[in-house]
Amino acid sequence: MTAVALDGVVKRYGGVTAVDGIDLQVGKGEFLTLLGPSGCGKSTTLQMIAGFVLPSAGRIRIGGRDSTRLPPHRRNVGMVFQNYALFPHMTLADNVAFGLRMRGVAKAERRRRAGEALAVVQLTGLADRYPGQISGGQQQRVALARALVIQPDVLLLDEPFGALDKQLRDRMRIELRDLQRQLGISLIFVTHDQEEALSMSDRIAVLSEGRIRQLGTPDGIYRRPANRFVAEFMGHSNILPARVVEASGDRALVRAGGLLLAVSGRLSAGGDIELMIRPERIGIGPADAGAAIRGRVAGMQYLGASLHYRVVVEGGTELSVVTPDPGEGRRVPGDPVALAIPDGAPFVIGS
Amino acid sequence: MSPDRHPRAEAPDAAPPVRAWARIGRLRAWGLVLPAGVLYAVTFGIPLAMLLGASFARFQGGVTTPGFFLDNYVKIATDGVTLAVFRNTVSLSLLITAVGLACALPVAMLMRRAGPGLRLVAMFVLVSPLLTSIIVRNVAWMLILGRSGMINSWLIDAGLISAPLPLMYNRLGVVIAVVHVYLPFAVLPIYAALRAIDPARERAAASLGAAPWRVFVHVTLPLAAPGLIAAFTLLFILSMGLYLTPVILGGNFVVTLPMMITDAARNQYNWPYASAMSVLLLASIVAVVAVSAVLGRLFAVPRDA
Amino acid sequence: MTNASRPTRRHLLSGAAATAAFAVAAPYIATRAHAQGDPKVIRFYTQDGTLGDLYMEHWYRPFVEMHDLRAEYIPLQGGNAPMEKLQAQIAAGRPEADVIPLHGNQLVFALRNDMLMPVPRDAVPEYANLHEQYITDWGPGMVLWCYGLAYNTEKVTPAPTSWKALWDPQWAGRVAINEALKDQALQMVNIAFKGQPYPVDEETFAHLTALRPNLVTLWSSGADAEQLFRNDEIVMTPFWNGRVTRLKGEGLPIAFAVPDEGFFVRHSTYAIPKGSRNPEMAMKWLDFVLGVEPQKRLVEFGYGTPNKLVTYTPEEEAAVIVTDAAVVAKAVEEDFARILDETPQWNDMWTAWKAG
Repeated sequence: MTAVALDGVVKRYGGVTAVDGIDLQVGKGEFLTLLGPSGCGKSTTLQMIAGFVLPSAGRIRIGGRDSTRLPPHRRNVGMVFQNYALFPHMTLADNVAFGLRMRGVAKAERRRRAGEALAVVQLTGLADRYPGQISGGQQQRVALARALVIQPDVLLLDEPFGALDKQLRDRMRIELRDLQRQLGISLIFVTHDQEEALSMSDRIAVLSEGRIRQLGTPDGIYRRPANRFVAEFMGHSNILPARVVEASGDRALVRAGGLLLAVSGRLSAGGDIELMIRPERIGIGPADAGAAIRGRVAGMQYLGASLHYRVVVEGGTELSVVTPDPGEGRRVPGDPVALAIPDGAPFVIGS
Repeated sequence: MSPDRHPRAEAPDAAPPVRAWARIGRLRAWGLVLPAGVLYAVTFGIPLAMLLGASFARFQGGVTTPGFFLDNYVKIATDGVTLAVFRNTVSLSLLITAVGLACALPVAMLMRRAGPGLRLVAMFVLVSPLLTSIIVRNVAWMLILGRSGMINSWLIDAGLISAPLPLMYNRLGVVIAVVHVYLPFAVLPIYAALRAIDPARERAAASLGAAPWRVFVHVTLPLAAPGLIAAFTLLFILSMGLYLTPVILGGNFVVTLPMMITDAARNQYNWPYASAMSVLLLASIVAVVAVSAVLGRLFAVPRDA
Repeated sequence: MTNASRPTRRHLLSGAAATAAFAVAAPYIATRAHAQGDPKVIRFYTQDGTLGDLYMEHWYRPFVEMHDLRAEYIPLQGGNAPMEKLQAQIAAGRPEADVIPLHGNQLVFALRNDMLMPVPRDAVPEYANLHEQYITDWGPGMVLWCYGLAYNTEKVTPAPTSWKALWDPQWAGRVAINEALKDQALQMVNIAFKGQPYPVDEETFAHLTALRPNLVTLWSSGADAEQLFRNDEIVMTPFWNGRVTRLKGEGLPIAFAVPDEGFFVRHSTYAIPKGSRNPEMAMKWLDFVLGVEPQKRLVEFGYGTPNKLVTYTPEEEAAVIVTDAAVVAKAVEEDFARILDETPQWNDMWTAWKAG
């Protein structure tokens, strides 16, 4: 079952194309994230699903109904805005009950269901307060309750945690994910924060320049980026140009600078490819005459739980390496080190 | 005096020094408004006191006797004319205010949506009547609303009417001309209030199922309430002081309290009575300002939520 | 900090008090300082517009040059002497002008409030040439004007001979009367229906109520009334002869009728306020301005003169109206003391009638 389906959706403003042909299906109960840098078209896509922006081309179906040209109030869509957009002149209960009131639900019933929704977001007892009297995190939850209480076909969240501090943001992530699972709600989440996307989503669509660059599970997107853009956008990575030295079946030997690495994938000898190696997949140890890869530490960054080394290996290639902090025996710039790249760590981008 | 200099042990209660600081701050603030205060006292306070004093003088046969007489206030209350004119002034002001707000709201909403260029044009068109002399403006309206004026000529030429419509020398003419010139005083506060509304709040309402008119009624209008109250107050107060336009476009049949005041002062040389009526007018305006201040507090919207 | 702020505050307060005291006292000090007049300075009220130009050219400038004076000109708002201002100025010993033109009721008001200085007969030799009724102890009456019936000669035929023409039902919504100087309008109603100008009573207003369907407006100034004719809003109104002459000059089909029941002739008394800083020159000016040449110039605006020596051409006579004894005999005798005393009641009744 599909909750939302986008079919060739395009949005042009004058000569500028903000969204350039997006096809996307969001399943019932699925948590899908639109991820990308600012200006990639993710917010415009969300606005089109909500009905605030009309697409220049393409179709949008919500809950099995063609909603391409439907005004926002005729779509059964819940939306949570970055700045919450609560109604400051209404109590929290009235804020939450607003959608029910617009649907003609009787007063007592409204009050009961708003109370339930506030309980779901753990704000029981604050029903008669005004938005100006509660904290940012609490406002966020009210906004969530307000959008949920109408039992929307899909819940849309536009950078909802942008205004919260880090700790609160981390907690809200967990709460939102739990709530979404518990209620089985279909959800589209817009963010530019890849960590947020990875930690919550069932699937992620990475956007840039108005197009989906890759659509997949967090694990798939992180470990097997379809292109260099996705590889770079999803956290730190070593991206190395390489040439296939030898290929047989779905195994190949490639040379990247001074490194000779085994990779999987159907490649043809002599071809140019790009390799991605995540820094946390590379092992680092004391220099050892027998080691396959030797190098010298060029720089070190202390990140608390982990250490981030820059190592220049023989042949001049610089690699980023991230390891858990051992506490003692940290390398310092100038130290000779040996690196270990396990089988399967190098990934041929696009394969 | 700084609370920071006291070790905590010696000053378990930090409130007194804090209060002292606040007091000094207040004194300084008063010091800053003192020049303006003195200016007001001299140019406004003293004449006002003189006006009040004059309203208790007695006027008989063209001769004014200073003193404390209630004659003028008794006359206001009992002559049957002054209070009727006062009521008429209030009802005319309410009518102008209502029509003005009804015209201003769509204009302000249009300006909110307009681009900077159109907004500038709208602003200029709105303010332009204020740059024209009141006489020129009213004479221009006479040319438009008159018996053989523009509107009547068009309507007759188009065969829609056979005899000219009475568009002026009545309340209608006064309301049209006054709303025309007072419109910016209503549009600007409403526009300012509308601009302060985060459009996301209206979108939120729409996404929750509110049709455009319900978004307007439940979200836009309540959030614009401070601007509407300000616009109401300004329009009403300005309208209570109307003199020339009712004279010219009302054909003197629309009588306002300022017209009676002028008549008493200029034609009867009865300054005590003119003063008493001015006090009544002033008191009614103060009352409206007070009511609007209370309303303003009731409808105050926490901006940052 | 508190100690430092206190003297500052006291300082500011005392400074403020001094400023306030000065502001209150300044006009008084200034008045006293200049109470002694300069015999070479004279202060006149001036009118605006073309009438003002005429006064300037024929009444003020030749006199000022003749006596080598310096003149101060004070514009007259709405053509009326500002009695409230003058009363206060005379009380303070410094009226702003040395000669003031007063309407009949203003003269009564000024005398009751002891605002004028007597003008001895022998100070104005020109009095010898004046009709006796225009000479008073307080100065000469001049600038005679008439209040009669102005009508559109194309639409109102035959020419009206009675004020009652205003009440003719065929002119529904086509006539106006005056709000300005409404005491004349009230007296007009009385002479039309009661044969005498007083009393102004309920009967007077009953007649006005009967006129109401014909009234399109109540005009507030001569300029308003002119505009009503130009815009074809009205066909008839009680009006002032000078204005009618002017409209005729513009080519409008308009004429001035003197109704059989009588009409109104008014003038201004040119008086010298108490405390005038140059009464000698003011009296000399009165003598100058009463002369034939300055008086004759007023013809252009239809104003008549008290000077017997002034002669008119037939066209001029038609404009001035009050040149022929038969016409002058139709003038209603007005009681300005009564007008002043009863204006408050009249105006209340008038306002009630308008609003009713």
